[in-house]
Amino acid sequence: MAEEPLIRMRNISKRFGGVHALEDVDFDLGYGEIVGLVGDNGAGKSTLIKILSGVYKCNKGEIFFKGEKVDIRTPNDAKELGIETVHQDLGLVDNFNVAKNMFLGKEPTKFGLLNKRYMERESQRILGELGIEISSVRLIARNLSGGQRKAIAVGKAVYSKPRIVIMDEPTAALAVKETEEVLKLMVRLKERELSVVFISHVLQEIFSVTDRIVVLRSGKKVEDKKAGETNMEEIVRLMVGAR
Amino acid sequence: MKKMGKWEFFRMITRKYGTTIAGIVIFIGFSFTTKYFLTTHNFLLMLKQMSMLTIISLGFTFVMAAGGFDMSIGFVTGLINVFFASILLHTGNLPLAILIALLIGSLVGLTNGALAAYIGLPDFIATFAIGSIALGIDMMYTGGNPVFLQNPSEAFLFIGQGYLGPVPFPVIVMFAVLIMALIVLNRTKLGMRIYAIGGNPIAALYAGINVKFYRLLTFIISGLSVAATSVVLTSRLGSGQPQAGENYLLDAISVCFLSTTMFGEGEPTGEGVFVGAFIITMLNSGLTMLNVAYYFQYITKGIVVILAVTSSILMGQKLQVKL
Repeated sequence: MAEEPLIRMRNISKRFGGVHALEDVDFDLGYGEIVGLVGDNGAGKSTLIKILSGVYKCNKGEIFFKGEKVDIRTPNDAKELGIETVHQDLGLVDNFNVAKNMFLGKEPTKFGLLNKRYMERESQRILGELGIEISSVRLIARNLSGGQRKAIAVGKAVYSKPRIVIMDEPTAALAVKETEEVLKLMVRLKERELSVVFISHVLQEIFSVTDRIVVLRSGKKVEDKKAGETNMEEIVRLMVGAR
Repeated sequence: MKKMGKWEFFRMITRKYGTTIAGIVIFIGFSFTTKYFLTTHNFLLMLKQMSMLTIISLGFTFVMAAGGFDMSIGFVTGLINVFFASILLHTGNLPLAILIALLIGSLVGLTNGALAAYIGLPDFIATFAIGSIALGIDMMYTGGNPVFLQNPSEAFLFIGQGYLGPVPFPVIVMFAVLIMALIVLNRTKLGMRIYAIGGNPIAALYAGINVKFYRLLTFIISGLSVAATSVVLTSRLGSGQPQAGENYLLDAISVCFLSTTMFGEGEPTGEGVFVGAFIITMLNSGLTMLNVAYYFQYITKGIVVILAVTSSILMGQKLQVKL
């Protein structure tokens, strides 16, 4: 590879007790690229992106950002590099309203006090821009539908103008229309020169938006191919390990 | 959002304000059944009686809002009580004694926080053990005997016994602490992050919040509020009593659990603590006036907490606090 990618992960290994969740995995993410990360349950997809987003620390391996070695120890380190994540479990506080959830960790203040009006106005604006329909940003997260909750998690990840957005199964349990919105959003992010890591079990979705597909199986990388050079049958075969 | 039906509206009101309404009903009940309950004098007396309970419970609220628990508050109140009195007895220097009381409080909080938040002991175990150690040090130092103050100064006695106009000074301290707590919990980044940790620690972690550090802070805040309570209590008693404050643990837990049934979405709130402390104090006062034996008051308090929390769960409130 001639050009240095935005993210280069090398020989990433992670153990949980005696279980090797990841073994010597290499993973690259280019500028303005959507990479699909696929694999069966327990293949290590979430573990890999949790290492990239600072939730887990790897036991072995190196991460390079724009060619420079970086040490991502906490979610804050990742955020400082411009890496935002929509986790599978969304990371919403159920008893907070939409606005507070959007700004958790980046709370705007005025004279040392929370600027609630700003939080509400901005959340409304951001969600509107993303085409997310929520009647009021004062609604409590617990009372929202699964799709709405997911939409907020996505909105939260993209509003701070990151360079990389990681989406761990953002379309799971979404209605058809909501899924389409998320996929369109990914393409829009790419148009804005952002890079996206997209995890999904639905290969149609993966093929419809990604540039490259990385397949993990039992903690190892088994394939890394341009989306145009492979097909669903091949990917499924690689995922389940059949010949 | 779909329109709220009549029944849903009723549930929302009951869920958020049910405990307060029950409090008002109890208030009216006592007003009719006892002669002196509904007098300005008794009202101010109740405010005075509830002041220390409110202050200590507000500290506890911070810990509980972050999903934690502090079992040490009762015994630590006694510990600070005797050390405060003892320093005052030996030096006669009130500001120094207050400073050291606050220092002990924050040190205890720091230890609780280090054990629970950083080392990862369950809150219940860590703070229970620290409380036990505090009781041990307390007893070792005093031999179980009170520390009597000879000729306590006017300024010292004013803290717990003085009046500004018709208002007892501890009541003013209580409202000052209450306002501070309300501002910090509801209007600052610190408060929002504390509630986020209690609501969903994983979400707080994802959002880049240093969960351990904020949990440590809540224990220090609790320790400081214990110290403030002890100072007021010492002044009120005019001496250092090794076993003063033991009742505060049970009462503070009752108050904080009552507060989770009010105003918010299942989290403990400052407003709720104020109403909760008032209800507990009102029960003590009213039942005494009705000549109910003191031990029956414990039973009543237990029943009140069970009723309040049960009814709010039935009304669809999800309790945030897990043990």
